[in-house]
Parts: sequence; structure tokens; C-alpha cells
Amino acid sequence: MRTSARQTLLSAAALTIATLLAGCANTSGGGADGVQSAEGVSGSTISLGVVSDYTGPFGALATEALAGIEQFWDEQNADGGVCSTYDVELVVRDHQSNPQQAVTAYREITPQVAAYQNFAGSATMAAITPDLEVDQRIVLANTAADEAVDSKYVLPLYAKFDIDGELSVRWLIESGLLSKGDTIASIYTESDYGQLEHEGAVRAAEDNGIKVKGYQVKLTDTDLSVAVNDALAAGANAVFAGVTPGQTASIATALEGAGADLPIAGAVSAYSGSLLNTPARDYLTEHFTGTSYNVTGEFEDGVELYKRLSEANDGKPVSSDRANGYAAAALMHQLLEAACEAGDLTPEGISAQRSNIGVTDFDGYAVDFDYSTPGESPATTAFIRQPDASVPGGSRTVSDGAFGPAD
Amino acid sequence: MSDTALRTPRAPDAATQVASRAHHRRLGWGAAFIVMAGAPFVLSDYWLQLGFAACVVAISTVGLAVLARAGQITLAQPFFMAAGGLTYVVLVSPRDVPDAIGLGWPPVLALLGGVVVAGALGLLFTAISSRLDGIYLGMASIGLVLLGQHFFHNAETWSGGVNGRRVPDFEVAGITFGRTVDPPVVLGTVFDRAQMQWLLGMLFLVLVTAFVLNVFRARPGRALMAVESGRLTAAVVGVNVEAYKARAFLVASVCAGLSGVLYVQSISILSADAFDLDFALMMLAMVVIGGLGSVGGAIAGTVFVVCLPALLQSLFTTVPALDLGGASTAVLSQYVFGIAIVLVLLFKPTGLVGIFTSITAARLRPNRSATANTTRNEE
Repeated sequence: MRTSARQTLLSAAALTIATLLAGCANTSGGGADGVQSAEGVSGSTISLGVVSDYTGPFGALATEALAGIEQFWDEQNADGGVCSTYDVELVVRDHQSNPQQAVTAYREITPQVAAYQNFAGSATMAAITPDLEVDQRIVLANTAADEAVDSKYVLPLYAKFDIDGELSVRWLIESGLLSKGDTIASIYTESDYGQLEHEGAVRAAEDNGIKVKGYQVKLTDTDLSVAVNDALAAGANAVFAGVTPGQTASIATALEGAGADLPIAGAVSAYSGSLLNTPARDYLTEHFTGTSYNVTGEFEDGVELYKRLSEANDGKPVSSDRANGYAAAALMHQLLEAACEAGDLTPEGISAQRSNIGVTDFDGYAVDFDYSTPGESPATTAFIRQPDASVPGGSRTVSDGAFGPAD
Repeated sequence: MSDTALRTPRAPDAATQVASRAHHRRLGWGAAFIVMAGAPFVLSDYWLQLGFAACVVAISTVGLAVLARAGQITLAQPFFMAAGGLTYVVLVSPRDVPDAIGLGWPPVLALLGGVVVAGALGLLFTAISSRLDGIYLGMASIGLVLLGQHFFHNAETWSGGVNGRRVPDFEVAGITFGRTVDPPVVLGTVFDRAQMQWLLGMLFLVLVTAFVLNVFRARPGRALMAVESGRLTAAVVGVNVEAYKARAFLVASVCAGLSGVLYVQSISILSADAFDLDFALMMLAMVVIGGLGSVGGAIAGTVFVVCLPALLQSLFTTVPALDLGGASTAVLSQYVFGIAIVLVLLFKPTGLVGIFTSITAARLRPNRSATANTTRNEE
């Protein structure tokens, strides 16, 4: 009894001591040097946060985007960094598209970073948005849901999702692939991304006298043939895809299987170059057009960019997601340069540059973004792209430059 | 020497064991109190917030342990958590928010409302749960999670739809458990959101744990164990099998409701994505890893599953040899996490609580048999 009591006491003491030690090891809250880490700037290094889904449903896409971000900063650091003074380092965390893990990661690394180079996901973004008002970290976000667009600390990397859907469907109409009296089947995911995209598609269709038949699917559904076959039975003349890339492949496969010859208008996240490695490749190449906010590989700027991205990838082809990451890093570079020029690299100082950078200049890598008014869609135009295996990144632009603006 | 040993009667040994267990319990509660009260003074915000998340999820998994004690398993905990969280947000939100239902209740009443609604829904489902066993109940309960997801996505004025809905901070007697402009300072430590939420989470976890342990030690606990060991046997000794299974499910759903109210505080928004089937499977993993049917196991398993991925990522990025850079570190931490789960279950199917019991038994080898016999009742 004496032994067990002593042991329990020792266990309790050990637990308390371990807790104390863990606390002591972490109460400094920042980097090992403890210098200005709360501001995310330590000596000649600026730390930027990257929180995305690397091991969940969007793992492949997010990993490619991160590679683009890393390459930009590697090149930039070698070229003098920010203000020819600061190198940039990335603090990367995985949230698996889970809001609780996203909040945990955000609260862990916020004291260490000056801004967020990337934060992905709509629900995950919504979870941290209230904290941004207090922490004042500017965030480049892979979402354009209402919550993100409304925050003055969030810079969405797309047009608002409803505008995105509208542009995609309007392209079909202006191309003559869809006309008054026709029916479009809108297949969209049960998510803020899908629902907003659907709203935009409906707006574009109804403005032009086109009927819409909506199909809501789950984000995790892999076989959309039921929706596709029902749409065909209802006499649909085109399909709008406000879904994930895998689901776009399912739509194409189902259409091909049914012997249908319907155009597919895709939302910004409905297509990835990796779809060219699926059986849906041929159907998509002939029938799919979708929005994109970054330059595709056949343009002069695109050729040069994809060449460098491919070289850094041991000569292997890269997807457009990597180019997206690269362009996003270029935007953060502009913000940091502007903040440095203003002599204020604190998080508040970097965030304040949102209104000062005006219309963004991506060196031709992306459409123009205007972040000066929170609540407004940062973009009203998009490139319209079509799958093309012969072009680096897996797609080429079919619109004459940026298409739009949306009404 | 041998004479004395041989003559040692068994009765005093048993009495000693009982006294020892009571002593252990006091020490355990003492340690819990020290950790609860001391942590805000020494731990950073990050660890406190991670701890709060673990406490909150543990309240739900302790409910699962009650069900497991009766040989039942459910995947519906996220549904009842969502019900608790949704009720809390609807009741506590101000009335004047456009396109959203809010009743402007005081947070304490809203919390109680969340627990009551989750319990009521649990009670309704007992009509099904008390007639099903094991894997069949597990499968039936999946339906609730899918139903909840669909409701969440479509009842926009209630849940905010796919965008989710802001969660007002919990307040009681003028104390806010969230971010405040002028947080109180205690002994030189600022008690802001992280510190206050930690105290809230630990307080509720301790209360729920104490309640469930008392249930286990009393007649209902023995009845639940009888149900687990065999319906027929339990019925023969006078246990109303269906009633006890229903009560266990009710306790589990009430725990989940409370957990849900606190969980939405932890993630700041009410979001359908937070209560999906993946979460249900993770909770199942928590109780299996910790040790099925044990309160201590449920808590240990929850801490393991909630904290380990974050700890691994944090550790790997601070140890240069393990930092593979970028996403590779996240991927590696997932491998290590997966391997850890497999190893625990492979070498100790009784889970973390089994490991702890083995260590204790090895240290107290002379009393091993007595310890083994009494361990389960102790938990």
C-alpha cells in the first residue's frame, strides 16, 4: 500500500513537473532566439505562415501550391529577399480541412509569423476570421466565400465564388454553346464554395433566359452519374460543375458513357491539370472550359514561369496549382516590399498595405486584383481555360485575355 | 518469516486495497486540481487551447465510455454535439441578427438548453438504440450523423448553412470565457481566452468524470457491466437490459451535448464540417486507443488523438533532423501518428489504460492479482 501510494504521489508529481516543464519550454511563444518573434520578424528573417490541407482531401493540390510558394521565396531570397534585407521563411502546418485543427495551428504559429502567405479552406478560414481582427495578420486565402471577402485582413486569391460561377456560364453563352430556352444542369457541392458558385451560375443563366436544373452533391461523393443521367433525361444542354476536380472527372466520364455531347462549364476549383491523367482526359479536352485567375502555360509569361517551375521539379511537368502558389507568393512580396518601404514590417504595418497596393501587378502571372475595398470581389474577370496536355500546367487560355467583367 | 507470511489473513489485504484505492482517488483528484489551477500560470496560450480542445472532446468520449461499459458503441456523438452546439448558438445569439434565429438567452441557460436538447434527442433515439447491439447500433447511429449534416447545410437561419455561424462567448456572472479588451490579471498572469477556456474545459471534464465514476461504482455501473457480459445473464439477475441500455445512451448524448456547447467555443464557429463522420470515427479511435469502457482510457485516448498530430508537427519543425520542410513534415507526422495507433492496438489491445495497468501491476507484483481484479471497478 505504501509503495502504491508513493507511486501514485510520484506519478502526480511527475505529471505536474512535466506540465510545468512543457509550459516553461513554450511560454516564450516564439522562436528560439525570442527576439521580436511575436512580430514575426527576427533579425533579418520574416516568417510567414502557411496553413493548408496537406494530408486531407485537398492534399495533392495544396502540396503543389506550396511547392510554388517555396520556389518563389527561394528565388527571391537568393535575389536579395525583401527590401534587399530580409529573407523569408515559411512556417507550415497541416489542418486536413478540419476547423479544430485549423484553429489549433493558427493559434500555435500566429505569434511566430508576420502574415499568412496562405490559409486554405472556407470553413477553416471562417473559424479564424474573428481572431484576425485582433491579431491583425493579413492572410492570402484560397477561398472566396462571403466571410473571407468581407474581412479586411483576408485577401482572396479568386473572384467571389458567385462571380466565378457567373463568368464560367457566361462564357458558354457568349461562345454560342448555350442559348435562350436551353437548360443547364448545375451540379454543385454541399459547401459554401459549391452553393455560391451555383448562385452565380443561376444568375448568369436566368439573365439570359436559360433554365437551370440544380443538383447538390456531397463534397465526398465520387460518382456523380446519377445526377448526370437525370440531367440528360431532363434534356440538359450543358453542365455547370461547381465541384472538386475528381467530381469533374466523374461528370465527364458519365457524360461520355451516356454518349452525350454536352459542354461543361467549370468553377475555379473544378479543374486540375492532374485530370489529364484520368480516363476523363479526352472528353474534358473537347468539352470543358473553366475559370482560372493565373496565366496558362502557352503565353510568353506562362512559358517562362512553367519552365522555371519544371526545372525546379527535376524537369518533370508541374500543374497549374504550382503556378497559383507562385503567383500568390508574388502578391505577398508586393505587400512586404510596400510595408518595408513604409518602414513598418509589423503585422499591422503589413496589413495596412492592403489599401495601398491598389490594383495588383502580378507581372502578367494573373488577372488584376483590387483589394482596396473589403466586401467587394477582388476580381471581376477571369481567364477561361481549356484542358490541353500539350501545354505546361495542363491547360491553355481560350478567352482573349481576361474575360469579363461580370455584370 | 514464512510462518508470518502464511498466516497473513486475506481480509486485511482487501481492506488495505480499498483504503489504498480511496487514497489513490484523492491523489488523482488532487493532481487534477493542481494541473487545472497551475497550468494557466505556466503554459502558453497554444498549449492551453490545445488542452481545452482535448478536455471538451474528452467529455464526449467519456460518454462513449459509459455506452461501452454496457457493450454498446455509437458513432452518433458528433450529431449530439452538433445539436448541443446549435441549440446553444441559437439560444444565446442576439435577436436582432438578420437572417438568423437568435433568442438572446443568458449563456448559462443556453448551455443548459444545449445539454437538454441533446439529451432529449438522445432519449428519442433510445427507442432504437435500446433494441440494437454492438455494430448494428454503430451502423444505425451513422444515419444520425448524415441527417445532422444535411440539416446543418440546409437550415440556414438556424445553423448559418454551409457558411456556419459565429459563436458568442460563454459568460457567467460577468466573467467572459473569450477574448476581452481588459482581461483580469491574477498573480501577474493575464487570464484571457486561453486561460479562461482551459479552466472551463477542465472544470466540466472533472465534473463529468466524477459523475460517471460514481455511476460506475454504484449499482447502475454494475448493471451496465452485467449487460455487457450477456443480456440473458443480466436479465436473470434482475437487470432491466433495455432500460439500462437506454440510460447509457441518454448519458452519452447528454455528455455529447455539453461537449458540443464547449466545442463550438473552441473552434469559434458553428460549422457542419466540424461534426462529420470523420470526427465520429476519430472519437471511436480515441476510446479504442484509450481502452474501451474505461473513463481514464477515454480521456487518455482523447488527449493522445487530439494532441499528438499537433505535437508531432510542432516537434518535427523544431528538431532540424526531423524537419523535412513544408508539407513533408505534416505527412511524416501523419505516418508517425498512424503507426503509433497501430502499435498501441497491436501490442496492447486494452489500450493506453491497459499499458498503465500493466506498469502498475509490474511494480506491485505481490498484489498483482488483487490489482487486476479491482482495476476495472476503480476506473
